[in-house]
Amino acid sequence: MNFPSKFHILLIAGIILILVPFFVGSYFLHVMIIIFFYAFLAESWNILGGLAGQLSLGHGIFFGVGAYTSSIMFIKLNVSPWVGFLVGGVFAAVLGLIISFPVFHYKLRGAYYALVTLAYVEIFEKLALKIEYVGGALGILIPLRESSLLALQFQSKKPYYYICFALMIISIGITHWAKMSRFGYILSAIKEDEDAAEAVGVNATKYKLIATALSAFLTAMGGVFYAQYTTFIDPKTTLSVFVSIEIVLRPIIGGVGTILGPILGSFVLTPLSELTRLLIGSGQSGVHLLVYGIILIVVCLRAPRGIFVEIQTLFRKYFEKRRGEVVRHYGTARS
Amino acid sequence: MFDPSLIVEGVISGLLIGGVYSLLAIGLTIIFGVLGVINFAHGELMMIAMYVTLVISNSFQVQPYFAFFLVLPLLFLFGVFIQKFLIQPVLDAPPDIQVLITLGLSIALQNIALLIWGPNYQSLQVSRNQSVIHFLGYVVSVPRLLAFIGALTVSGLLLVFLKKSNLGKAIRACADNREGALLIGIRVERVFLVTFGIGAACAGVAGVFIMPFFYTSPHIGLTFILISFVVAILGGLGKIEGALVGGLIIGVVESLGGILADESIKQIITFSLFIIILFFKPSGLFGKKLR
Amino acid sequence: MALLEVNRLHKSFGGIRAVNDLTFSIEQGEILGLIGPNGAGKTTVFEVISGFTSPDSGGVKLNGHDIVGLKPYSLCERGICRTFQLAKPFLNLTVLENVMIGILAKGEPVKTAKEKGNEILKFLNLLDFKDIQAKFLTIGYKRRLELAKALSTQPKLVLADEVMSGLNEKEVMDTMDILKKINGRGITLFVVEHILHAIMALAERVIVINHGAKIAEGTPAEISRNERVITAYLGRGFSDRFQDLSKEKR
Ligand SMILES: Nc1ncnc2c1ncn2[C@@H]1O[C@H](COP(=O)(O)OP(=O)(O)OP(=O)(O)O)[C@@H](O)[C@H]1O
Ligand SMILES: [Mg+2]
Repeated sequence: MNFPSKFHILLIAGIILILVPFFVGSYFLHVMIIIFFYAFLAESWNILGGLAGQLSLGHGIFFGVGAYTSSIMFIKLNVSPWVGFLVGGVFAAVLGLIISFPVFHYKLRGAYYALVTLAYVEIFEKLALKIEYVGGALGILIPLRESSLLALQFQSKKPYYYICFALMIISIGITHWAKMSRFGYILSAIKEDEDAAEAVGVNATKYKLIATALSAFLTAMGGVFYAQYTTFIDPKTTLSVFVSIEIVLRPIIGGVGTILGPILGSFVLTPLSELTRLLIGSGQSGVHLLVYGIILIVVCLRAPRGIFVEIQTLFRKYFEKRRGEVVRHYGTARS
Repeated sequence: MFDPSLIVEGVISGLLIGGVYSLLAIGLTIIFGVLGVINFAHGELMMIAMYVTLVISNSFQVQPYFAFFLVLPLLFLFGVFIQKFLIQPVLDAPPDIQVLITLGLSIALQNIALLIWGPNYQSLQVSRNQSVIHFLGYVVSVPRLLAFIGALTVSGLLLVFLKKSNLGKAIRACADNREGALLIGIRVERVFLVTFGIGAACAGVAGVFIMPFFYTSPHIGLTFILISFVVAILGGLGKIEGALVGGLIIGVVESLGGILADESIKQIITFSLFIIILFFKPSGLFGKKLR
Repeated sequence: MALLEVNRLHKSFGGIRAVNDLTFSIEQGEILGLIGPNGAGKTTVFEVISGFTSPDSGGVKLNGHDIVGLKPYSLCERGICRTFQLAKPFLNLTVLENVMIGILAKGEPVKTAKEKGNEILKFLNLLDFKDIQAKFLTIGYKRRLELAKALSTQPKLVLADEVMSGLNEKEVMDTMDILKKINGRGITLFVVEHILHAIMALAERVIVINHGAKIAEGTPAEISRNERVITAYLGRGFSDRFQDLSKEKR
């Protein structure tokens, strides 16, 4: 390890990020918040989509379940969103287990898995549109109560900033743990070849379900945060394939299955959407998604392992050359 | 409770639109059969064709069917282009990459449409052909009938092309066995280009025929992609005749669903059916095994 | 009691009878060979025993317990591990990581898995490659890694599907030694092989199937003298060569 250690870079980045709110205005803070927010979602998706290799297009469901559960509890039962984090997460995890079990049991893999999850999210969106109790197509407006930690509502952006930052760090920690543990090794085998994994004694369905539940739980927490932060939810913005797509893009472009790739993905893509919003105005224009779509295509063509891996390789080559080492052409997918 | 003639009319109308679904799904299925790629941008190809039809019909104040002559070559070329620059380079990559690249394409196309035509639903301005004919006492919509005839004619011609022409035979050979086709000297890459072109053109033509009695929006592709997946999988992915029958079945199921319940329930039914088929009969109604 | 008993097994794919009324047993500690022409149903027999496909009818018993219908991973827990005819290493994992998976699946922690994995690699002379991604291995080493993965599950019975095909003469010899070494550890081997001289030298008993049905069973010497085997399996023209092989063995 002659190149600057990853740990040091991250430590410095972390300290800078903690100090940022004291020096910048509220718009900049807002941008940072949504960067963290999407980084958190990307990392949550990454557990199932990256570590376990299941290309889920259904994460909009988990996001929506989180957002709806906590909002309804908040409005109708006056329950704190902090409880909502837990309850929404559990609901999403359980729902994830229920809808995924048959999918795994019947061995729908790869593109078929993507297809089923796409169909699922469409079904759930249509259901949410039908159910009056959850506001139907009109959605739910979350009333502003008092600015308090308990209600997860604040005048200032700073508390949101730190909460979202914490969420992101937690997701990185969980992914790191997941990847380095027994669980992560087994997931990586499943991702490589499920039959071969089963042949050496891996109960693939079980491990994929665990990954689903964990990923769904975290994604739902993102939904809870979103509801409190934007104070408005409806099926299209919280429980639809569009949400799924937003969640999927960043980890894939950043570097699927790596720990920091999804984070990098959000730091690259999220500001782009803000930039187009600034330049073009309305968020409805679709320019940022057009750009994302093109980036996704280019990444598939030129850097299918994602930009993080690409940058990492460049760095390695650079430092190894400086040390006069032969550049190794092999490594491991788990690095 | 229900008027039985309503059911019969539902079946007829379902069969008619089912023909369009068939053609759309044939495009999807032929691409899968030959290339092994599931084209997630298939619905967007249809959406683009619908807008092209709309623009031609609205700006020249002509019947939308004239757009056929532009859409067919246009979408064919677009398909060739997609194959050459997007799919070909990733054919040997992991399957997920193929899913993702077509997904990227679909996102890009959706938002291009959003930029050009805006988010609203649009339909044709030329005096809508609302005419109906009476068949055995049942009411049949003429645009739907035309769509059905048109779609089935194109499907039929495509089948004949695949069975009789040399290029068609080469395409089928590639679908059966890519390595074998290479061995007997078929220029596989060229076959791939043509195949994607044909697949895209199918989606395009389906878009032309459906436009006279439908509406379009940038996100309409999502509806159609799921329908074409349902149809293609019901018929057995990769099987053209299967897609033909599957389209008619799904058309009827959907139409009856529409009579019994409203629009979104109808979609819930179709998509649930899709998931159930994937669970219990992923090889389709007529198939033994996948590829 | 035999380690594994297969009783009147049937399996068809559509119209094709891949396995047809097959009965045999495997004794604890032996090396049993399974041969037959292409498409005879050998791999299908393995797939049924290891739980990757379910039979249409018939029974499979491990130590007297019925195991039909069990999933591959639970059969693996009970000691049956198969290799794949088309080697299926975890391509993007290192050789060591490949071997760790089977150990981890048994519930061992990562550290133990590394230690035990290293031992297995050493046992199979793969230690030099431990940090290389499996996709960079030659076909010969990929096949050997298949065996290493199988060993990582601490099996009682290994079903080895053509672990020598595509190897050069030297590699075949090495693999035969390895198989004998594995067997020497008390692990029962059920081996499908197209390289006849190898299986004739290796196996104590050989079963011959054609069109899914058993046409002969016996010692290699008996098999190579069996008229039915010679005609059905090799065609008359090859019978001389087959006789040579059995001499070679002695
Ligand atoms: N999943 C399947 N679907 C349909 N047919 C199959 C399937 N698996 C095997 N078969 C057929 O069953 C028969 C037996 O195949 P199997 O692979 O068991 O033969 P084998 O003896 O292992 O052949 P080889 O020596 O070529 O490996 C063949 O005719 C094959 O085509
Ligand atoms: Mg075989």
